Amino acid sequence: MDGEAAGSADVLLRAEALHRHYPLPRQRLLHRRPVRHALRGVDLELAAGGSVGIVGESGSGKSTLVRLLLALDRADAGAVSYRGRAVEPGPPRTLRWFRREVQVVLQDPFASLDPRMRVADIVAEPLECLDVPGDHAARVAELLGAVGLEPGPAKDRYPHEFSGGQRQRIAIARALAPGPRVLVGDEPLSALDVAVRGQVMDLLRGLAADLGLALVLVSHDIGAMHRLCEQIMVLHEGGVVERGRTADVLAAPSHPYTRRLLAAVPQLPDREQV
Amino acid sequence: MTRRVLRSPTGLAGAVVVALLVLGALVSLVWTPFDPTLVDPASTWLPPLSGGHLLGTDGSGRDLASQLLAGARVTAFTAATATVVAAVVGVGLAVLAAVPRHGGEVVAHLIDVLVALPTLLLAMVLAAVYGGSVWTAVVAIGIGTGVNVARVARAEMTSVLGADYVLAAEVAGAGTGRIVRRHVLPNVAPVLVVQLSLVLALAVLAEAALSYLGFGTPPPTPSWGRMLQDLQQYVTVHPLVVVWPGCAIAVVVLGFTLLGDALRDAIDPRMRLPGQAAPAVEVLP
Repeated sequence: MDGEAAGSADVLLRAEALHRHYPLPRQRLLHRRPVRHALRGVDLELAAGGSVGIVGESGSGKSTLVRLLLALDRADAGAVSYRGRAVEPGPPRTLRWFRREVQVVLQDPFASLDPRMRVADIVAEPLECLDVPGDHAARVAELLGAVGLEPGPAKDRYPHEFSGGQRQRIAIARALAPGPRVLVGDEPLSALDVAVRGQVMDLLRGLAADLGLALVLVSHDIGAMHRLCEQIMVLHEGGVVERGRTADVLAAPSHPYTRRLLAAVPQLPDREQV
Repeated sequence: MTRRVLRSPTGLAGAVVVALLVLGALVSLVWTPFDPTLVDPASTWLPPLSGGHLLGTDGSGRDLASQLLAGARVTAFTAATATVVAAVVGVGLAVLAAVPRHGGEVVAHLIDVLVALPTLLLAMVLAAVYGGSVWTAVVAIGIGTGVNVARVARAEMTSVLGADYVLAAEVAGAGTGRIVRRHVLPNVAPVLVVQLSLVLALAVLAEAALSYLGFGTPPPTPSWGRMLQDLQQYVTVHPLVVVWPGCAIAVVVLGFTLLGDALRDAIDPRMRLPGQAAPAVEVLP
């Protein structure tokens, strides 16, 4: 939109100095409403094909950051841009170009699929809404196959007929439908049980590699971070306290908060890997 | 769902009653034992089963059974159309109030104010201004119960709008209209169906009350409420005659209510848990 498009060519998603606060309910009649600072000056850069993990405990601002990155909420200060083009919440029509490029997988696969829609319609929704050209039915079948579901029997069923892991696969198929270059995962693994989590993690990693997807992964699962993300940033009370290559940060955390987070990860006595 | 409704005893009973009402109304279109409006001074206050009159006659010699059959027409028509009006009013207001944008709060408060307005009073005011007719009753009952539907539907829509699948639809590029059509309405439909089945019962009751008070169906169209009004002054002399329209109203209202209950149970098994209040339409004041 503005002349910034020439900026570093391979950075897809960029967030600069994001601030967001929420007013809380008034505690006392004549006092000001208290304010919660969900984000205070967060920067993020995601290169094409790169992967950034965002860790932090509940209330650290992860969800707010995701909402801002997806243009679902407006920042008080700072800006989000995609390949140099400003991204701001607005009517769906004005955001189509962005939605084709950046998609999301949400945490709870039991809540993120409309219980009264058939799987084929769920996966086709972004295709229809974003005016993606081509044969939608064929694309839906291709997507279901890509996430490891048999398209034939799956497409006419309703979400409740599937297990949690299968549902998350459906959610991933929907996110991939418009052929995005960035996939944002808001705790996409934490609602799954351990065995399924590994499968979905492998699926995400495979898809990211095959399709050249860039990943933004929000999680408190350090193990998932290790396997899926090159870069990691640690959020604490709305600010970034540490960032760097995942392996480095996990091996030698410099900030006390990161050390506390890592210490909180339950460890088995003899684990092959993190 | 239909099968589950019919399998429960209440659902079956309700369905039978409603079927009888519709059947009676349809039959009365082509055949009644006598002309329900035919005045016969020679045969007033006949007891049941005399002179070919199944339920006897009233003070003008009109056949009661024929009046009941023909009255079913008004009852069925009012209930059905008032429910359609209630659905339009209820869903319309609820969407305006629930979809987040400027003015939603105002509509929500407007609903609360309208809920406080007694339906019968509204009907009387409308009847005073526009004259009593079936349509006045339909509009008044539809609006009066529609705002109750709107309040329940709004709460339901607000919770659906907060669901993750709506967020996902937003990221998928769906606009407000599509989200309402494809996600919100299908997911509140069960609640709406239950609410509207209860509106049917309320509409029967309200139509009878309005006709009884003289604000509903004008003469000579036969109506159960007006039969009650015509006959009540003779209740000490001929106690049996008021029983027929009274029972007809009570049974039909009960039938719709039972059907509504069965629908609710069939749609949401949680409602069957003891001690958990089920959403209901307020009883008319």
